[in-house]
Amino acid sequence: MLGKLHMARRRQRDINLPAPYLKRVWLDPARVPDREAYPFCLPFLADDFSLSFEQAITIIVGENGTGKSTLLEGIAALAGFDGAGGGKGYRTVDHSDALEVMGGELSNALRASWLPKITNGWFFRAESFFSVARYLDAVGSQYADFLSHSHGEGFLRFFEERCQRQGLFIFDEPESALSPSRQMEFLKLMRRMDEIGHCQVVMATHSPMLMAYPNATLLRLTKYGLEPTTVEQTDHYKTLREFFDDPRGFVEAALID
Amino acid sequence: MAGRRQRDINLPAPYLKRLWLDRARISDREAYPFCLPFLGDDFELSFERAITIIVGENGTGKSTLLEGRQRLRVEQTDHYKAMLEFFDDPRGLVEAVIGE
Repeated sequence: MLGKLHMARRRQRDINLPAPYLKRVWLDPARVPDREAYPFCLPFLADDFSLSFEQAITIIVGENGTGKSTLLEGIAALAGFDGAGGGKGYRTVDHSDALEVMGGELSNALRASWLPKITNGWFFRAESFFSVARYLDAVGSQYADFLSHSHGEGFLRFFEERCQRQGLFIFDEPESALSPSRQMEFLKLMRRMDEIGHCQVVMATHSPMLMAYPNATLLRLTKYGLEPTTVEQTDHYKTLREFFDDPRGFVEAALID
Repeated sequence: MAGRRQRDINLPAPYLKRLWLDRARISDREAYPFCLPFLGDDFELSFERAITIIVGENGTGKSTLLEGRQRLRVEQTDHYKAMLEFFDDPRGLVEAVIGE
């Protein structure tokens, strides 16, 4: 009886802790089976690789091929989510084994500290959203009718409902489903998740608009690892800024290259 | 047969010339995707160049079927205008959006 009470009180205390819940992930070199093989050959995965989460929202930027998606898959696998997108216990219908294997491989060599360890959440990749939606439809979920919406609309509504619960939400390039005005809606969703206090967001993006979210840790992933940056310092921002300065001149010059 | 195959290959793109709606084949005008506003009875889309680019807000049905009746320059799109506004004052725009 006393034990039960204690448990209940303890659970209550845990739930009241604010995000971030996942505090740090790091590589345990002793658990790397083969340094030459993917994903361990990725340049950023040095022996001392470590990533600390200091705010509720962490945004990772980096060039294609640096391993952002693999890192997110590894974190998702650590949390117990399906590597192809979806939450714990949700397996997508046509998830790609290759993706799951890479995230799983990496997660086997990663260690994590949590406060507390939470298991609720979601791993979102734009390309797997429809398979997740189809799965929810198939099992008769209350979130089911998203297929009748376009990508952007459906997933904004989906996360509006999801973020009411404590969780770890991992987004891989959410902007690929969103027009600029929907990205503004997504910024509002980020603000709500931030203010609600029980949502941790880890996001990779190429969208300067999402990078500009003010109350987040912005990290740049390069072959040397992760380093803090600002939206104005990113190549994404600089390149697009140049484009908007002179769209036609910019494209002409790019085509001549 | 071989000669014919050769002749076909030499024709320049676009190969898909035109799409249009055959309303006789619509089972239910009220059901998705036929309820999409752009799918009027006279819907048609002609492809005049090798590359056709379609823009539209989420929810207009781009991924369901292609809409492309209004010819636009990039500067006329909402996408361009929104991003231009962003680059004019990135932090100011984001503050205004999330502060609402």
